[in-house]
Amino acid sequence: MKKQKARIWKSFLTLYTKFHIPWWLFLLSLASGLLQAEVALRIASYLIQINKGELYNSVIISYVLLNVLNAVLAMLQNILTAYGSQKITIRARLLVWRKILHLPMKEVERRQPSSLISTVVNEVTQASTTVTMLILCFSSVYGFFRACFILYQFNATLSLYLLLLLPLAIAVFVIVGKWQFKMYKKQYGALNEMTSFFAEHISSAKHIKAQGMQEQEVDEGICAINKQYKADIYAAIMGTMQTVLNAIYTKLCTVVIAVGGSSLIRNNQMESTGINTFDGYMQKVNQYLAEMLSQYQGIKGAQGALYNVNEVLQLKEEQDVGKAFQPEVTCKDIVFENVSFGYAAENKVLDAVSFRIPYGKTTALVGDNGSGKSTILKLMQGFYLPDSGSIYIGEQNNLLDTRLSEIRQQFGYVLQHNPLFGGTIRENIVYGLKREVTDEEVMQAAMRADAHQFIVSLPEGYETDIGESGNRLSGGQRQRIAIARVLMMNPEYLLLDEAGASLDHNSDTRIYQAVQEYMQGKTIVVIAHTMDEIRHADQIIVLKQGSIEAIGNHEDLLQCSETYQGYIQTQMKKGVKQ
Amino acid sequence: MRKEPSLFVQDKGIARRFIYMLRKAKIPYVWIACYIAISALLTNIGLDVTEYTSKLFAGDVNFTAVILPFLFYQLLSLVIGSISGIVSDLCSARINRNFRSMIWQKIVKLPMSFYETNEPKELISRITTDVTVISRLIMQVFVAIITSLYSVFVTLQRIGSYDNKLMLSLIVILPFNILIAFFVGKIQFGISDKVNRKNAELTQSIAERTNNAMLIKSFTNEDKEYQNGKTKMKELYTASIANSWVSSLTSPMYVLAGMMQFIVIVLVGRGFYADGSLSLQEWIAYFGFATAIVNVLTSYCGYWTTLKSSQGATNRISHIMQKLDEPLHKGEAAENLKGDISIDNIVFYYGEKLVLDHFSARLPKGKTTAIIGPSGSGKTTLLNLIERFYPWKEGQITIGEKDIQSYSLKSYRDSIAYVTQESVLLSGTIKDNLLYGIHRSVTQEELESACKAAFIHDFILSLPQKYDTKIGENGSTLSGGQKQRLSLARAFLKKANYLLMDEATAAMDITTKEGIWDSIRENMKEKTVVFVAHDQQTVRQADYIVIMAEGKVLDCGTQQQMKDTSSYYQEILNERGRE
Repeated sequence: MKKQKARIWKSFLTLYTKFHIPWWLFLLSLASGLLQAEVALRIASYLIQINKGELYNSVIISYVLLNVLNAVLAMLQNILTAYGSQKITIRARLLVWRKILHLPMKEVERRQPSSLISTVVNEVTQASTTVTMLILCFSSVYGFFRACFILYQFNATLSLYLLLLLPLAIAVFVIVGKWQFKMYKKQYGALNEMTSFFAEHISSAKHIKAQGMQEQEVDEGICAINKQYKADIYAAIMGTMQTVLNAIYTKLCTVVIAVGGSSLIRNNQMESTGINTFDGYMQKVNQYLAEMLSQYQGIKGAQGALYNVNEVLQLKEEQDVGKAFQPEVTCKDIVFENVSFGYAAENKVLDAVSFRIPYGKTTALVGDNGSGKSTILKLMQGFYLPDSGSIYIGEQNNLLDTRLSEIRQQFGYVLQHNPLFGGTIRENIVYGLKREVTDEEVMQAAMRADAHQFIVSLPEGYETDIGESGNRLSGGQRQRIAIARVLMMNPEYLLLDEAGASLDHNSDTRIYQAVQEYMQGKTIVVIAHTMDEIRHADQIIVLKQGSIEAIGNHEDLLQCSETYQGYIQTQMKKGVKQ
Repeated sequence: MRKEPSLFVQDKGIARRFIYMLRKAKIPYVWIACYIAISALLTNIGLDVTEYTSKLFAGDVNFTAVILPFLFYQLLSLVIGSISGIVSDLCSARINRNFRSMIWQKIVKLPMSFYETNEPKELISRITTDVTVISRLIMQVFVAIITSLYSVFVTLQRIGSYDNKLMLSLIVILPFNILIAFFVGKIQFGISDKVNRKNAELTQSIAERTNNAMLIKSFTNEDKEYQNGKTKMKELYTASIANSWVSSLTSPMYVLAGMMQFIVIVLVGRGFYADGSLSLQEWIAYFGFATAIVNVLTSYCGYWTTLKSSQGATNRISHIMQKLDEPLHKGEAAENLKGDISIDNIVFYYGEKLVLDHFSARLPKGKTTAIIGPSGSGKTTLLNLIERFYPWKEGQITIGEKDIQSYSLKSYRDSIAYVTQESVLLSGTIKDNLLYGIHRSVTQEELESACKAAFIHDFILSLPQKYDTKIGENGSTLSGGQKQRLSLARAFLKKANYLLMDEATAAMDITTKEGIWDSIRENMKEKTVVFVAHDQQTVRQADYIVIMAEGKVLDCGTQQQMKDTSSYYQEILNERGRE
């Protein structure tokens, strides 16, 4: 328990070493806070006079002017703090965002991408709370001691009575802090859960309707909403308990003053309006105490809210270090040597496979679903690291010790369904390019991908806004834009994973021809389920349950691969003309 | 293209829509009434506390007459105050919950077109954050106005009991605060709404990107995406800073106004106190009451700001609430739907684009029909219309000589299994996903036989927790082919008379595809199957073929007829002629 607590604090504090905090802003705000404390005490003394009926002009004027001064100081402090905390928020946000962008795929999938959204957007804002509260706390502590001192000067006996309540004040602090941490953690947790539920289900609207599930979805959504409701109620009860605790303490103070003070007055140990004066300063003391408490609450609450942020920040990033990629090597083949890999430890997808993909040729991967074809393409690009064995992209570039970003730049990767981003068509086609491109280039890529025609038929052509994830385009249209996007990259190695499956036959043929022409002299690795795309490949690798059954060209495989023969026979069945 | 004016646009009739929305949502009236009653009680107790305090301050320390009642009222105010706090929080939480359920119920039931004109990811914040703005509006403005009006009234009455002229002098200074509030609220509103808008944009952009991490990696675009995120965050930063400038500048204005009122209060009181018509104790009480009233009035400034700044959220939610639902239960029950699907002269526009142009076809019952044609020719749209995802302009679709629009939507969709182009799975176990949308109890054997038919049973058994294995968000741990097979198994379990498939076997390997088609034929014996496909292996499975081009039927007929007469079809069968 103790250890865990120490860990929470440690990870919480290390967060603040990871970005620069604009201390000077906070120091200025502290200075204005201390000034405010002084001004406030003066105001309190004038207020006491007013309450005694000492309504002289000088008192009224001083009271008004001091109040205005106090407001101006408060304004200054607010603005300084706002700058400081907004700066912290944006810095922490950028830190988390960079982290998320560089997380390995395995980690992203494990953590459920949608839950990362609220980490960046909501939780991070709590990072500035701690610093702000800390600074405010200084001025509160200062004001607290100043007010206590004045109290003591005014009437030592009564102040000593109050000292008896000190243990209670400390107890209130400890308990409230604990509750606050729990409360925030629970509330943010519920919010997070609710957000990711709606994120997933709102984007699956079509599916929900097709399955006739609206009514059940309503129930499930209400279930998520109710969880949040329960967390809210929990927070309401905890919050009230905290206020009650604090109120009990201040009321007890009042009781002590009323009972103790009245007996002092009766014994003529204090002037008759003494309770008024004493209470005036006492209220200041309690006000500062309440401030300190709420600042402490803020810090503990922030700890709860930042729990997730810290967890994300402590994850290991993908390492983009190592040797530079060497493009000018004698042999640019891709080589797998005894590569084994599994997404989960107990489930091997590839079992010690070795093969060579010759440069400048077309290689096809065939095999049943789950035989590891797609995994091979992902391993090549370093999305996952092999459990054992080595991968070379060109003779001298071992994937394990070469910069991943440079390796990925060698590849163009097209899947069956490729995500697009909200924005215009042009923006999507030039996505990821680190150089300026001419309209001419964009158009040519679009033509090769058989997309130009439909693009110009749109009212705004290349500048058409395609909506979130491109949802204003049809599946085939999205696919053609995705292919154009890859062609713009001018990759050394083009990986096509069922890229033509959602295209119509004519379009697929046209694109495939254009792509082969364009990639002349470069390498294409293709996964397809139509034999005609496969049979013309220079090399075919047949996979079976994570191992290699055979490698060769169409004629070779007809001789030696059972699986391949099976495929050809299935296609020939039913008397298709050859 | 089809961009609807953004939901952030201000427009007329917001009050009317707001009231309509309040009527629809269940507002916890009883709780709110309780809260108002408790705060009224609290106000009265507060008056007594002030009165006894003033006696104490003036030096009256009689134990039974002053100290005991003083302590009693202090205690009472502590108890009632806590209760009032908890009831108020409870009201907010209930309002949040009820509004969230209301919006979610609405969103689920809206027609497909709604999801395409509104960015789905932006809808998330309708439920999560916009709602809290509304509960704040209700509790901190509407209800608070009632309670604070009451407290001003009671306090004035109490002051009036000392001297009527004192009360009148206070009434004169009341409107001053309200004027300032109006002025400040106007400035503050514009800026705080901008902060919300920027926040929503950031959420959407982050959401889109975290879900597509692999794409970003494959284009090594981490740095640029970092910059993109940075731009969005900077915009939010600028808006937030502007917001805090405005709110910081307004606070001295409030203080100034408060001070002016203070001067009036003190000067008036001093006059009465000086000529002896107020005792010291009464002066202290009067001053306490007057300060209380000023505090209450200052909070009115806050009401205006809250009211104005909640306009955006209110507007967005009430817009959604005004949209028409899909009527799920209206119409005849479509039990035992049978017969040809006959499509007659359908005209359908997608936005401004004509997709189906007087399209007519007859898809025979008990047969398997393939719909083929170039992309963009309207194949998916046709399936979507049969599924009744969109309303169409002209024409009619009938099943068994009956207009499909006459069936109740729910029973109709229950009689059709639709496997969409992109297999959608939701996070949960494999079993949850298989049973999604199956409205009857299914035995384990039935489940397994459906999975065997879809050639996915062996794979499921190889997983650590078998059918209870959790698949990630949107099924992210499965491959494309596995997802398609799960979707098919689910379609088999639905035991519908009609099966629509949109490239449902595209990601499967050749052997599996062949086996799956055997299963489909067996499972859908005597039933009607309509599918969209591109590859010859799949197309060969059809009994009947419809070839589409540019929203019209190019050709249709049996497998043999097409093989003999259609050049488009021959080309497909001809191994693509890429020699």
